[in-house]
Amino acid sequence: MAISNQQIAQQAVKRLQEWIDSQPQVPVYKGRINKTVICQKLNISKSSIGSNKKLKAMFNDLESNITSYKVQDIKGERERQLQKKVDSLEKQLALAKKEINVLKNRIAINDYLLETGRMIDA
Amino acid sequence: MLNHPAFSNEQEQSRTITGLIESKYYANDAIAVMKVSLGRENVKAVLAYHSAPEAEAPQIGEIWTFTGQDETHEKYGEQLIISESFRQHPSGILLIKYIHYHIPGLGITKARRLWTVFDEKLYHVLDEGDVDALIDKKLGNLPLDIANMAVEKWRNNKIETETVRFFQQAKLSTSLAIKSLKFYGKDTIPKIQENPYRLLAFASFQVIDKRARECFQISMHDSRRMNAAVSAAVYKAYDAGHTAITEKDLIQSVKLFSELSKQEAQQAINQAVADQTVVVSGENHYQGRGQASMEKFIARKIVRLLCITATKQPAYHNQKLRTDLLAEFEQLNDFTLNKQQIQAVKIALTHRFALIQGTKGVGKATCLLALHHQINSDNGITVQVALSAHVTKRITEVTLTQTITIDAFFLKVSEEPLPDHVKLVVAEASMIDVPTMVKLLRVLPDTGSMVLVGDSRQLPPVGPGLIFHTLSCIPNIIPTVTLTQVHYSGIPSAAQSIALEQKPVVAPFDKTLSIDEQIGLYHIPASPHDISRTAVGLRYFIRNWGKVQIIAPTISLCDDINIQLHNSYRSDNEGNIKPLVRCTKSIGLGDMILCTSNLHNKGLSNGSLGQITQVFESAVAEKSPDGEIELYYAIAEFDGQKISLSASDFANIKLGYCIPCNKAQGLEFERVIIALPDSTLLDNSWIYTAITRSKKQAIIIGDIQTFYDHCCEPPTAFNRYIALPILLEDSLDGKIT
Repeated sequence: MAISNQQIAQQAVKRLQEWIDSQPQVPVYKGRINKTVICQKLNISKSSIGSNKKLKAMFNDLESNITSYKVQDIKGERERQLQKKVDSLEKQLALAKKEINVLKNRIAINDYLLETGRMIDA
Repeated sequence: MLNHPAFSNEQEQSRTITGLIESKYYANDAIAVMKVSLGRENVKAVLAYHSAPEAEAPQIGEIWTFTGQDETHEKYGEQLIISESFRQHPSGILLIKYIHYHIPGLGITKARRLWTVFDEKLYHVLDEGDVDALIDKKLGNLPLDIANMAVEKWRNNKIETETVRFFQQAKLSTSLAIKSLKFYGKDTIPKIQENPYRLLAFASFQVIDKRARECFQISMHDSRRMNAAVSAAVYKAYDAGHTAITEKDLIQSVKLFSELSKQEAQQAINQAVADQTVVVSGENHYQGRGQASMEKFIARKIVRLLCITATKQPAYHNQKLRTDLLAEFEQLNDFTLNKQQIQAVKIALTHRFALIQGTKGVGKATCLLALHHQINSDNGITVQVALSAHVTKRITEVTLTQTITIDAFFLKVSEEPLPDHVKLVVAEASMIDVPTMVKLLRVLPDTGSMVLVGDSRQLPPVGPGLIFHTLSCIPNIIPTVTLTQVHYSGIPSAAQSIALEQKPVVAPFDKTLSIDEQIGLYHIPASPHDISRTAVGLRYFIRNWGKVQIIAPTISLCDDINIQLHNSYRSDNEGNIKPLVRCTKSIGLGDMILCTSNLHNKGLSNGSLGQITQVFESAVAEKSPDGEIELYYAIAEFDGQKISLSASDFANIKLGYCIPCNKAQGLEFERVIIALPDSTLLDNSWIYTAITRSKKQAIIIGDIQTFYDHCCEPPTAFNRYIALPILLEDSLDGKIT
């Protein structure tokens, strides 16, 4: 059975209310609530905020009371995660470089042995 | 050059400068005239290496401290004649120039800006590797990659300078410091302080021992010294061609190096075994760790190849000798292979590692022809190699298969590995030493196969070990066919007699015989003093009898004959004096020449023979094959190829009318004159190798009894101590995995 637009709008309001009631970590971006992330999370079309007055009021209310919620800065989090990844990759790179140097040294020692018959005492 | 002020003994007040070498006005092996920048002024400095014996050549861009006397030369003006020199880490404002020279992308303006911003703190920034300060927009403002490079170069230079200084203080040469740095890097100083005998890898025991005892206070019985004496004994044996050494010889050698008693030498050896500096190989034989690792690798790989044959073979290697292809080959070439030759082709086809050996004229090349016919008809892949360029040319001609030098082969496989089922054919394999065999087996895939073809009666390889000679003696392990049926009389027949340690048939040289009758082995008696003169006369007499080469055992006899022949050919048919090559003393137009090193950029190898065909009145500047401008002094023809030769090429070129036997290995001439004084270098293999260089006629000049004596004695090649047979057996028994 097809659902009417009105029902969709009501369900969206219901989902947002339930989510607000659950005292969630509110995603923010540059100090404002991140509507895109919230809408994605609750399966609400972002464009419906403009057409659904209740939804719009709820978001405005959330915005003005943001200090009473725990916030989650998505971009900052992503940056932290990326930095973590960079650190880990840098560590891996340093290890790989070290390993390459060890192998290069081993090759040089081996080549020197073939060239001169002399062993380099490590 | 001796009039140069650098060689003056006048004593004046000296001064010390520290500056950056900006450029060199002039430099050779004896002297360097440099423009040294002190920051705001420049000094012309003259370093004569004889006045500063420990001095290394300063390089452009390096910072050096020079002590010397100022002089005013009437022609060259004011200059500092250096008496002492050492390399420095940059200090003060010199840093600007230093970083400008050493860091690409960092111009002098940027370098000056760094100094303005950081001042003396720039040293701290670089020492600490403070990349953040260098890239900070308000401070260094350098791009990240340039900042990283600056820090790395600075660090390396600091390590290098400190290490060179440490070596100079220990009265050890800078070249030793550079070699040590290559392997020990930043740990060089602590490593050498811990054990100065680590330097034994780069210099003789005598040199290192003197410095170790004087500068590092190492006592006579120090375990490091005793261990080094054992290594030195192993190295000495290796340089003489042995990869192993008997206990008796090792004790004797250790005693000589270390001046220890026999009992102490024995203790040193026991300790070296415990420390794994040497390993015991078989009964009463020892090997250095390096020598053992090379031969073990060879043994393991050969056994791996042989064992895979016995169990799991790829389809291609399971190929049997195809009789239809054999018949086709015989019909095409209009001859029939004998049983031995067929057997040789068969083992080369069906085994992953096989060996074909035989004396001159037994048809080894024919076997290779037939082998290539079988493999090519089945779309198999073969690669045929030989040690030097002049040998590859001959092998290519006789086997009708492209043969490449081993050097070129290694270069090729470094770019593209060998295909899985390749058959690697090594011609003239008696010349292959242990390191070359290691390298060949290293690039051969485990699914590939190898055939060695050669003559074990020839001289041992110039390098260490005795691969082919050894493997040819163990047919119970290595699939081997020895070809014995001689196909031609004359030289091959004489060669076979010598190989059997019997007197060959020798006829007195008869100059009245026609050229067509001059076939086989001949003799001209001559006293030791007359040998060179007779050889020169004979060379002149038979100069139009085709390609003639004189072979002699010693360098001094070769030089004597060469200079006599050079002088006798100094004028042309009309009596005009032929011009000398300007950068040489005794090589002129028309002279036969010998290349004594591998000149890869010219396509010449050690042993290449040629003739000077053009001499330039003054040097001609041309682009070398490497793309650099070189000054050429002459053109020579090598195997039909014209090659321009520079002064540096001539440093590796000698007269080549008469050459030592090892340089003639792998070559063939129509006629060979053998100058034969009694020499400790002579033995059965030497005589055999010299005679078998000739296709038609070999003429011996000297005492016939000396010649017969050496023909009838066993070859000394087999006196080399090696551990390969034992290691092969151990490998087969699974002791080496």
